[in-house]
Parts: sequence; C-alpha cells; structure tokens
Amino acid sequence: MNSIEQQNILDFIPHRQPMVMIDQLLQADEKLGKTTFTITEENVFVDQDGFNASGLIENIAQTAAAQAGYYYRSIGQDVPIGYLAEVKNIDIAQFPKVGDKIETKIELKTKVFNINLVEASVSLNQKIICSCTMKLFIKEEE
Amino acid sequence: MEQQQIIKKINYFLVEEFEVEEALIVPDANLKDTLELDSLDMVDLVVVIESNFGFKVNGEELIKLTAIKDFYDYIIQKIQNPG
Repeated sequence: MNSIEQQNILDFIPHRQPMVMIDQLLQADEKLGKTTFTITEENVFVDQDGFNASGLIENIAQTAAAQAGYYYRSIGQDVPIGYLAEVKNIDIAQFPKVGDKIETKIELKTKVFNINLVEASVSLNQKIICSCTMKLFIKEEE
Repeated sequence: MEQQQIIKKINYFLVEEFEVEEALIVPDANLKDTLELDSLDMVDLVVVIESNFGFKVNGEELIKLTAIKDFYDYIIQKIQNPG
C-alpha cells in the first residue's frame, strides 16, 4: 500500500485535532499496522520530559484504530468502533522529544469474543523505546 | 505428553500468569472464581494456553468450562485429539 497522510487518516479513525497522534499510515493489513508521528511543541501530551506515557499509549491505540479502519474499508465492511480496555506490560525506555519522528507497529495477536489483543512497539531511530500489550473492546453493530 | 505432565504444566502457568496460590488449584474448584477471571483475563487465558500448548482456543468453548478439572480435560482432549 502507499502511505496515507494525516488528512486521509481521518477517514479511518474517529479522533480529531488536537487529539490526532498519528501522521502517516505506512502499512495496514488484517493483522499488522504501522504508523509514523512527529512530535510537535504544541502537542497536548508534551511536558517537561517530552511526549509522555499517555501520548505514547494514545499513539499506539490510534495506530490500532487506523489499521482496523483501513483493513475493514479495504474489504468493504463498516469500521467497528473500538475502545481501549487495558494496557499491560508497558515498558518505556525513553520519552520522545519535540521534533522526534516515532514509528509505531501493532500486531493483532488474537481475538476472543469482542476483545482484540494487540502487541505494540514504538521505535525512535530504529530503536524500540516503548512496548506494551493492549486490549481493545470492539463494539459490534446492533 | 502424559496427563500428569499436562496438569503440572497447566498449574504452573496458572500460578505464574494469574498469581494464584498453587494450593487453591484443585480439580473441583471453580475455574473463574479461583483465578478471579473477568472478561479481559479470559483473553490472557486464551493466549497462555495457545502459547504453551500450540492449539487454537475457541473462546465459546472455554467460557463453558466450570471446574478446574473441566479445564484440564479440555486441554488434554485438545492435545490428544488435535483437529
């Protein structure tokens, strides 16, 4: 796939500025998603340490949302709404600074009932700076 | 793998993953109550079974299991009769 810029990413995620935490969708298929995001000074999750833990978690969740959104559209289905249910095993080695460009990768490991389990990592200059597992509750159509 | 080996392996990962005392894991005990499982924990249980025993878990089947001995039987049956 060609990468999708932020303007078009909004077709796949429900978030709107200033809460959009992904710039480009580089890859998306049934199980994998990859995005990039450059940290700006005005970002709401930037504090004295840089792009904080909440921002990293939001970035990962939006990567998962964009992957699912792109995939479901590609197979002609409506995009289901997902809710962040749990973050586990989070390991943050470094907070990105203003101007840094992070790359975030998510992999759908399993689906049980309405819950997707995702493994995620955030890289900066090809070094993993954050990893976690995330559970997303998927709301089915009524 | 012998049944006792399977049960030993199950008990080990239940203790590790769900931080439950091994003495509480007895065949007649209720699975969900003993492990204090909520719906999110059920996902972890599926993952830990799949990674330890290498078969795909059907969530609908898993949720029907009541006692720990049912859980043992489910895994033993899946291992001994794959597919």
